[in-house]
Amino acid sequence: MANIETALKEAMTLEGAVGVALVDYTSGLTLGYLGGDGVMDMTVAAAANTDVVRSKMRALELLGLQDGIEDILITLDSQYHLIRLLRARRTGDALFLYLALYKNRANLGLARHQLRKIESELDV
Amino acid sequence: MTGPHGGLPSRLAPRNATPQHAARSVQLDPLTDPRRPLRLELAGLRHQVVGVTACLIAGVDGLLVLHDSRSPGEPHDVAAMAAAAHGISRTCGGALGQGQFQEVTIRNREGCLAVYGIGDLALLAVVADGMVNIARLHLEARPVLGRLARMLDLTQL
Repeated sequence: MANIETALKEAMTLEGAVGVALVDYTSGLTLGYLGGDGVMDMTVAAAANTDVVRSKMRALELLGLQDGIEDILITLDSQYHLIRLLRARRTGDALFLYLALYKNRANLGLARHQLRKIESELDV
Repeated sequence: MTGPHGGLPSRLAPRNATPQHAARSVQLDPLTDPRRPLRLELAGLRHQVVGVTACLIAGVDGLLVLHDSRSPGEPHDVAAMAAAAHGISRTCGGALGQGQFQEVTIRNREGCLAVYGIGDLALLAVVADGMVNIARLHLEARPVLGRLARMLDLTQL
């Protein structure tokens, strides 16, 4: 099992990684982040994307779908933003990994696969 | 941000300020109400951040300066609690040698109270429900604090 630091470092080794953050979406606060330097403030990204996650959850609620979110992909002109929700390990845990990648350098399929692996090994 | 004669909060909220006074002041003509820019800032913050139920400006002495008129609850009580939270926070800051007060957030199971310093003498208190995005609230509050500080300094209320 990996701790937060290790998981974030591992995510940053992905080809084309801009920044990564582990976010508590009950408060929007980060448990840790790496990268983003000069491109984006990862704490702002965490707070803003907390609203994205909540909106999607609300959408599922409105649709009456008894389902959970595995990940959310947002494609920009030059970046991919990948949000991966952590499966709750303890009651009250509500966390997601947020990863920004440069589109021209990243392999989306590989990044998504790796992020799944990082998430499964992460021990908060 | 204040002159040598008297602090800002007492100038803004006299000791005889009452809830009726606050309720009456919101009836003012928007065109002539000198506090309108402040009110707009408070309303703006409430609209920007989902879950915010009340915004108010208080003096560090616990007296209410101005509150967002749509806020539920008793704004005078919130102002007093904000000042109490500020007091303990400032004491901590002093004892630990961490400088001036900046912000304190009290998180409860079903809501939170965030108190931010506006200069040395005024506080911005925000009450929110349990679903509020606290990080977002802090981000949105930062520019508001700067603007409120400038307005409170410039306007003679």
